[in-house]
Amino acid sequence: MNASPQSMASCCASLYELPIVEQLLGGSFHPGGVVLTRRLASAALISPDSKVLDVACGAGSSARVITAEFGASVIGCDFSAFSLERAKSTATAEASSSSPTFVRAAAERLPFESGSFDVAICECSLCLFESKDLVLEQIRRILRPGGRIGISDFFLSRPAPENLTGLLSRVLCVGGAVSLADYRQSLSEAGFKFVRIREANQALLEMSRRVRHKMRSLTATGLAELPDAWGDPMSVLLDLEQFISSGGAGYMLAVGRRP
Amino acid sequence: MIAKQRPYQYYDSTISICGTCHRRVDAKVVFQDGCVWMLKRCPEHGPDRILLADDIAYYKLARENFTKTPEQVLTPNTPVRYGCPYDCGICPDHEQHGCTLLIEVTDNCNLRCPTCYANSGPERVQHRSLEHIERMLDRAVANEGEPSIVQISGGEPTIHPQIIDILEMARARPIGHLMVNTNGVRIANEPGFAERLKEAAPGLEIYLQFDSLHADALKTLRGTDLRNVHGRAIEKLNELDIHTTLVATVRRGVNDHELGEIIEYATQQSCVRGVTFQPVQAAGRLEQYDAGYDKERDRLTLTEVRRRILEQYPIFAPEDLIPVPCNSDHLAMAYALKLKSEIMPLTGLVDPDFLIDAGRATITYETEPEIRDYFLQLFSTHHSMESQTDAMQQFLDRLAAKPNESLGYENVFRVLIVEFADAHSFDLRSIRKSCVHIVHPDAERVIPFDTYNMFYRDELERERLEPLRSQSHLPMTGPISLARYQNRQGLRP
Repeated sequence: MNASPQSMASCCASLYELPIVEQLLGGSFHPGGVVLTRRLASAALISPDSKVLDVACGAGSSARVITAEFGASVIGCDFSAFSLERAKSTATAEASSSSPTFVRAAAERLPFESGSFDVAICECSLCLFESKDLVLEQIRRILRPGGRIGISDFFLSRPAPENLTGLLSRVLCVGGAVSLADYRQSLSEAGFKFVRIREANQALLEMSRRVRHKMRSLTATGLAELPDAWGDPMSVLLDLEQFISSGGAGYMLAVGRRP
Repeated sequence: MIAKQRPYQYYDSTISICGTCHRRVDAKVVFQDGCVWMLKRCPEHGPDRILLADDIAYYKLARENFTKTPEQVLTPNTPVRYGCPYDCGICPDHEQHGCTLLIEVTDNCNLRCPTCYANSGPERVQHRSLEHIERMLDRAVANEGEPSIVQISGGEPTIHPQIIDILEMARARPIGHLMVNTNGVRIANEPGFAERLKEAAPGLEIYLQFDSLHADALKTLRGTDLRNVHGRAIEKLNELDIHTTLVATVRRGVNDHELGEIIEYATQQSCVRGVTFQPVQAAGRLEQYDAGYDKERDRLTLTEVRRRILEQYPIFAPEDLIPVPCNSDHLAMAYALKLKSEIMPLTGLVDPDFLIDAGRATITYETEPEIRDYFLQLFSTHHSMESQTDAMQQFLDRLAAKPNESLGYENVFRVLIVEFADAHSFDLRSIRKSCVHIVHPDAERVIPFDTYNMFYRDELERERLEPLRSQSHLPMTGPISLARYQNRQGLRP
């Protein structure tokens, strides 16, 4: 094992703990929010009979949606104690008849028995891990034969312009983001079959627009201040939107099946 | 203070019927634990809860997104008098024409299946006369103008002594696509019979009962191991290249684990254009159940069948197996291209709006020239690269290896799920869109398949429906949908 869990996501894990970031992004930190979570769950055939692992579940919003709307039994795991604390306290507050379970674990070392899940999802997180291959291999291990992996993440179709590299690497953690073909290759090298990739670029665009509008109203009303270190984030986001619209980057959902 | 909460999400109210006495009852549709439930209460038989779907996202997608302007029969046949579903025939309040019309030419059958919605069997010796069948065919044409699909059904239609004459009579009428609904026994056992069918009706499609590839499941569903019959029938149909659809009645715990295997088998047969899966409808004869049919234990819904197909045949992804807009609650469909024995899903590549807007409301798009052309054009040229998706790319890569392939109906492969409503799952909203219809033997009426088996088949109309009609507190003075509501002005007196 060459990636210590501590090193993963060091670029942005602390960023996502800033209150201002939560204000800007709302409860669900990945593009498309709950809507794309539902799409991913449907694509991975999650049903009331499914046992599901949410790898890098963050504060657990997707795990809760999948429990409530798909009736599945869900375990969420994340390495961040901070996120898990949030996940657990929200689950207790909602106190619905069935809630997900949350476990602190590193994706590179999943503490679950082989073949014990029907579906594993990993939303907007795979590109955070130093060793994607190790994570995919762990996910493959914990899935039963016929089980499905569902991934959502950024992709790059061509190198990003220089003014975006800061945003992409430090905020969106896609400094090393890969192309659709790379995702396909990683999944098939990890042993997944029937890999199908769907683009959801609109979700990424809408997320950027929403964040930009919130930034504008928060600063205009003086309700919040953006950290100085961010420079001129609104114009960077505009550039990002243009880059996405011109096909330079996007967001994708990939599903594969363990034979 | 925390308000008391329901354990479910409330979604809709509707009218259902009691699963025991069949009277109209109030019902709610709710979401709970990832499932769609119908809650209802009969004043006599108490409260009840029925599973409608185990996939809320798909259920909502079908209901809310896959809807289209209903198409109507040319003229309704029965007045609105007692309220739905007591007026079938088609009444003016039905919201869909018949995509598929069944004409049952006999009650006699050479099998006596433990599962048979029509209660057919060797003990029923009634064959309808040619003159009688002619009137039924004329009713189909009078209602639909040019019926999209007519299925000659039964009983077992191929043992009608005049089956060839019946096919010729049907062919003489403006019917889009003619099918014979058969268990395949006569095709398998009588040399020359399939040839006669083909000669009498070129282009005929055989709708072949084909529930399983395994002896035990066939014995449970059909009372006998039909594997040899299937094998010989398919061999014959392949040899003559007669269009064939395999039809599997799906029963939980009996054959629902082999849906992928059946599709795989179908793709290997040159005559087979697709597979239709029908979860058992709780109607007619339901034998071979431990202590009788139990709706909690034995019901199987469309979404469960759909997921089993997707799990067992992963060449299809969820977006490939989508609701059919004419009756989106109860029909789901996947189209694929069949090249040699390779299957390339198509439905997921087509903009759903196209399926909703174009063509007539019919459950087999390939019989509609415009849609057929669209499919064939889309998949025989490279002009659609701009709408490129990952799947499209893969598809074109493969197609490029076969540049001179010309595509026809033999390259179409269709998987259809047809879920007929029964007394348990009856939802009046949805039943009004029912589009598989049966021509009543009185040749005056055409009745939705679902309600026919609940209220109108054989003695049911007299024994079950008449008492309900006489107790109906809903004397209707006419239809809800009136011609004078054609436009906004029409709403004003």
